[in-house]
Amino acid sequence: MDTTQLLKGVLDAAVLAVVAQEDGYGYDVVRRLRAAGLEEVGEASVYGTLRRLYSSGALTTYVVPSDEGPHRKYYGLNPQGRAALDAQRKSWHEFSTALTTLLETEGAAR
Amino acid sequence: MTATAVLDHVHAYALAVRAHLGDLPPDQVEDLTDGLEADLAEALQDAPRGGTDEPSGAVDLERRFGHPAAYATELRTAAGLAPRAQAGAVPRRRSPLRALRTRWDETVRAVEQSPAGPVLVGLTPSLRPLWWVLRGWVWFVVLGAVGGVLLGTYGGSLFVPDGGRWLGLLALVTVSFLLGARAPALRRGGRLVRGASVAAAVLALPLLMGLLGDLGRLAAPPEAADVWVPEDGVWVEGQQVENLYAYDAEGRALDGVQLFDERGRPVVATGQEGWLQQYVDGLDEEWLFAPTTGAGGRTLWNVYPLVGAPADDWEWGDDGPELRGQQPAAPPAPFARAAAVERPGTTSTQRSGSTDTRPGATGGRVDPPASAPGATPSDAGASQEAGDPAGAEPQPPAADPGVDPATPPPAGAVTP
Repeated sequence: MDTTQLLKGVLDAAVLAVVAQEDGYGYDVVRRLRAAGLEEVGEASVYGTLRRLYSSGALTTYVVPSDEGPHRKYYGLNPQGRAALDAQRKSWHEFSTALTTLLETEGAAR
Repeated sequence: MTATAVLDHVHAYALAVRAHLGDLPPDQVEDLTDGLEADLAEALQDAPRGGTDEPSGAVDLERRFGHPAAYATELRTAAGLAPRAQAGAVPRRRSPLRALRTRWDETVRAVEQSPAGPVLVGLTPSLRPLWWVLRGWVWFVVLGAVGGVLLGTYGGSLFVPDGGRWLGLLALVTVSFLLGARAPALRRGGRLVRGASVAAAVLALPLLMGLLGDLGRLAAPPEAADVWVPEDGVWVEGQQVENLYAYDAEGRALDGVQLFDERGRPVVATGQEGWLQQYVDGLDEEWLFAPTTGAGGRTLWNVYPLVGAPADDWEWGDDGPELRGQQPAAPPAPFARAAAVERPGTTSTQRSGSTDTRPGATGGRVDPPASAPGATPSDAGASQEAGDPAGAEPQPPAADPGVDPATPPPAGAVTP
């Protein structure tokens, strides 16, 4: 399976989930996604997704000044984002259950 | 590879990515790439992917992150934006402005990335409120100028508000503050706000110079040339007088009194080089006043009371106005006789028999409380006289012939 394509479909949910655990800035989210097992995720995709989620109103953003370097823009989840995450969770569950059943059934049948 | 070199490459890569996003509005590019350098740098610090050991150039950044164009495409796609318009598309009208903006953004970012960057960036949050106030003031000045041109209202200082305009300044500063406080990042805000802020930044310095100029002018004491210098004349109770009437201590009216100040300058109530024509208070007609002729034919206007006649009575001869059939006289005096007064230092017995009205002339040496500080020219001679304290009497004596030989220089025989 081409994980890139798969990832594109679920990146929103993945990013929302990561930010839901803890607010993060761009590369921080990338790092956590990769640590969670999505190693193929591209930085640009994550940044773009963060941007889009913010524009659609699911994320808040704030700037944290830093002593060592430039200020970082942090993203956090707002109630709308939380609702979106719940919805995605649900639809993923349904989707993955259906697909798993389909794949298992086919394999089991053989 | 040194840290700064890495940062340089990162910066170059980010520039390239932004360039590939050049068809987008600058604020959108900003949204997409704010923090890009920091993220790239941080990603490089982690274990590099792709199997290479030490990245040693921009090429390795490409290996790590992909070609900037591809990066840009992935970025914009994930962000839900359309892919880049084809080359050859109609260039947008505002491209020069965007190029300028892009260059500005790059410059700002370069400053941020430089070694001084963190210091400056750390400084800006504390300076920001100051900037908001300044920005509000600049908007106030600009709107005031525009309003002045449109409405034709001028007056007052453009830079320092007066009266109701303080409210306008306060309102604009508040607006500026709210806009600044609501938007955490420096480059936030709609295009109008951004443009107005940039304009404010550009105009701030010249307008501040104007403000300093105005403040200097307001605070400086008026120069001698600006202060209204009163003309020659005599003022009583705020009104300029036209004639002076003198009475002696007994209250008798005096005629032909020559008046000088403590420096010997003639006291001129009204009058000029030539003949004086003016309305006399209490009479219906205009009078023409004649000056007194002094030594050498000089016209004197300090001999009181001024004499003349109604203007209609004069005829204009070859040498000037002539009066036929009458002598010039003084206009009616305010009173025929004044009250008798007692000058300081005189005793009643000594005074009653004397026609000399100068104080102290009867023998008592007195020092009146308010004495002139030093001898004056007109008193130089007077001090020689017995009993006359030097400088005590600023007024020269009445022109009694023979009484006082030491008269002030300009006074001589006078002819009306």
